[in-house]
Amino acid sequence: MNLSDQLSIDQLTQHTRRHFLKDCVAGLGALWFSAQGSDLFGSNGELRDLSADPLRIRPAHFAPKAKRVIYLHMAGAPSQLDLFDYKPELFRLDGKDCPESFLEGQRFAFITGIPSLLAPRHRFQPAGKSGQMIAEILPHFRDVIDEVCLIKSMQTDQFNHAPAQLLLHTGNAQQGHASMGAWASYGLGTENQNLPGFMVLVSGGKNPSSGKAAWSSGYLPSVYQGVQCRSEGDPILYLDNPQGVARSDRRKILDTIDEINRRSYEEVGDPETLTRIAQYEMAYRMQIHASDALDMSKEPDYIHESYGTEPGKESFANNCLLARRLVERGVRFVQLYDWGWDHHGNGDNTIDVGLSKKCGEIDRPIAALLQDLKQRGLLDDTLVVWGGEFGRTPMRELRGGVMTDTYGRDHHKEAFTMWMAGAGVRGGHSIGRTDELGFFVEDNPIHVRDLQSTILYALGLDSQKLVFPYQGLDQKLTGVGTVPRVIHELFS
Amino acid sequence: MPLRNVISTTAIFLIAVLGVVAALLFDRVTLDSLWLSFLGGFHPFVLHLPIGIIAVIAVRACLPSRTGPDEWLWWLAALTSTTALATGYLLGAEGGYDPELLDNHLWAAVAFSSLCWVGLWSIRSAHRPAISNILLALTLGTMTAAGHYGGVMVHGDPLAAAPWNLDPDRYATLPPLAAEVNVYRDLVVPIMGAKCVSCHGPARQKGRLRLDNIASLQRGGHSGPVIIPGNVSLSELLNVIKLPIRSDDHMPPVDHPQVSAVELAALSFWIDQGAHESIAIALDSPPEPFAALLEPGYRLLPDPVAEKARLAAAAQATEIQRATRTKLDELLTHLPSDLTPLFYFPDHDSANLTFNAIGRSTLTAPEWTAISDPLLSSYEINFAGVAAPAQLLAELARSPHVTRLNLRDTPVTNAQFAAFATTPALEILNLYGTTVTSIPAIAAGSFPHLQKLYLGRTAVTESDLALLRETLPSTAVLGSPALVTPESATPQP
Repeated sequence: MNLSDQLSIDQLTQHTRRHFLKDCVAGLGALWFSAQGSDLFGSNGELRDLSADPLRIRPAHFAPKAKRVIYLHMAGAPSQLDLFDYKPELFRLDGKDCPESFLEGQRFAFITGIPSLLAPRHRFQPAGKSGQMIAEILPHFRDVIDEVCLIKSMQTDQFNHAPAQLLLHTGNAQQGHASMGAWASYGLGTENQNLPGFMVLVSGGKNPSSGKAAWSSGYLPSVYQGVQCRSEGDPILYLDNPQGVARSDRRKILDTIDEINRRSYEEVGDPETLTRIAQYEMAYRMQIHASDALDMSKEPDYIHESYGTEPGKESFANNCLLARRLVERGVRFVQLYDWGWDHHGNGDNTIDVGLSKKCGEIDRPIAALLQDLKQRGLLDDTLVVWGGEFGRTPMRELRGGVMTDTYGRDHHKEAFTMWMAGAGVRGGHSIGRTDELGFFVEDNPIHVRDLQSTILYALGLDSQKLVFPYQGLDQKLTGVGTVPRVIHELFS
Repeated sequence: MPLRNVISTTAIFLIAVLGVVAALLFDRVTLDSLWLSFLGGFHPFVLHLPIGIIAVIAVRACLPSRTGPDEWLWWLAALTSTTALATGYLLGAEGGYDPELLDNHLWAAVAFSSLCWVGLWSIRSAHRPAISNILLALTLGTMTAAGHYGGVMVHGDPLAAAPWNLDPDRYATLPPLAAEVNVYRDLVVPIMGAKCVSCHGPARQKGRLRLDNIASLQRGGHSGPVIIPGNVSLSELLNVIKLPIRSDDHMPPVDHPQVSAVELAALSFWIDQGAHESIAIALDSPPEPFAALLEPGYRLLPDPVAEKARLAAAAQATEIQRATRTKLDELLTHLPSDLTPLFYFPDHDSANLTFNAIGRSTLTAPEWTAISDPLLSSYEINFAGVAAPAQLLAELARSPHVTRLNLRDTPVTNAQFAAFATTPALEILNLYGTTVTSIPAIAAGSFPHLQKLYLGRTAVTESDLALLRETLPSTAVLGSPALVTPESATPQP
């Protein structure tokens, strides 16, 4: 022992309990404060235990209604006024100027000046036992309307596609936040250890405007990111072994990497190492199981016929069938995006032509999906959500004020319609009401944050308890502002 | 006594009296000046000054040897009591108080303030101590009276909340109703009495709001009227009830008995009809939204005995659930580690053990043996696509725990299906895509709790399904619905 060590030991032996207490004033205060903090400032959320296996199944906060979610997103925002929210008053006012009282303080993406109102461009008929008014351009969907609860009073903050999609799926109009599916698999893990908990299927020829940020894991560990599958070519990119590498070779490589990683974990103890091991192993298992899950050719003909699939092509119908195959195998959150619902009225992109064409693409697959889930008993614990990122205006959009003979509507954030089915949702009902023009919500406004909180609730998760600490803040899907409402009346 | 002193004291006294008289004359003047309202706000502060000063004088009077004269204290008492009177007058003129109490408070305060001046005069005139002491006693008396009335006016009568003055059952049930129901007297008053008046009534007036009489109901509270007759959506009284329970402004507060939907409907009806005392409806044809309220014996507050029993039962159920969970957790620790992921509990507290074979297309015979014990204690079992040994299925059919059983796409025989007819807790049985071919004869009392039976894509015929639906009326029997086909409907152009 040298002199310096001796001196520091002597100094330590001189320290009494009083020195300890005196020197620790700030530290003890902070300790006390952190213990009291939850009483003073509201309770902390519970952190999910991510050690060992980040995808391991984890219990929900309370009894769940749904084990899985299929979210059908119509990117571009379909017109609720020509499909679900029937406003006969618009027939009377068709072509008349929109009352100025409605326009005060409103901003639109393209409409300028005083626009004229536009009557529904498609015929409505009562559908199902509930007799709800549904457009005739959704003939098959009308058959399953009694499984579905319409939410006619949706509201959002954003009137441009990308920010509105991000707000809806990640809770924030800026990029970098975690999406709903990522939160769900962070909260609950995955039932099937051979497949990711969050998978994404895209149709309509292009990604949604918000791009892949809409299924990002944001600040959550990247293991929760949505895995995009393709319905043509390799279902998941970079999953197959490179040419010349056999599966047994791959196994040997993995075993060696695994050995090195385990040694590193024993030395350093970083839980991220375990995550890495789990990831490699899952990718190896997925090589077999994902290919099987995404192989539609194993389905019988009557299924292909009812969904209207086109094997080998990228289509919404294919994605609906894949979605069923994935939830059947326990994938927690299946997210579909279908581009092409932005019917402004330019060219063929109109309410008359474009909307009818898109409805023709989704009508049969959606009805078949709901019926197929139902007969397999999957609709009991699978929540199906359908909707766009916002709605469309009751007014006609005229680009640059030039009168044309095509009809379109502008983006509208004040009121739009979404629907849910399955997982105990009250079929054949509708929630909320808009005014006579369908411009504003008149009864039971439901913000997209309320929708997020309700989807989490269906999965047995409390939006206020499901948190992840990032940049000094306990981040939540629904943001850290006002506490959103759970739409309890949605469930029977 | 010098003449100068007599004149000045008398002048001050006269000014005080004139001030009081002037104040009384102002009684008919409505005050709308922001300044007067601002000054009135100081009353709660100023009023405590003379109380303290008089208390000090009283204490000094009791001390055996006084140190110096009390004159300056009386001066302070007189000035502050008059200031308190003036500010109090301004505050009272704003309205919102019980008129009778306000009147009593005002007159007691006038007497108190006057006596302070008389006390000052008496000290300055060097009367005999006896006179000063009598004056002091009178001052104390009037001060107590003024303080009492003021306190009752603002904070309510503490005696009204005394245990011996409360009848917990007073509003427990609605009183029997006559053929013609007076909506205010027979419905609104009992609802308010049960849910609102403990905080907004004679005992306490939170937010200066009383809901126990029609006049205060119509007047509202500190933040304005709570009822807009004929306008349900602008009536604050209803809006705070409708707010989400987690909201800070929700009423009644979260741990108090809540206003039910039918009670809210009755209040809304009353306000919609104009919120008069005279609105009446016929007992035999009540408006649909609150018809349930008029059923004889409707309970506004839960029956304390039943409530206690309910809470005890709930506590016992939680206790049982916790014990079951502990036992099941222990059972799972015996599993080999690669089989543990197949079992889980849906949430933190649940004792509903769930088995899911997803991701395990086959299980070996030793694995089946290893999981058989926890399986027999499971609530929900998903064997979809995995063929379970016949022996295990036979045992499961006798398990008292199995509530949801999914045998989708597995080779299940008719005999095995028949065995599940006696499974005591079974609620959902999924036989989609199985090899079941016919419906075994189902005796009365089979499937006692079955809610859903999935028989799609089996060889079971439509006529068998129809027979099954007849035999099991409370069960949803799902066959293979005709999935949508291109011909079943054609889109309109």
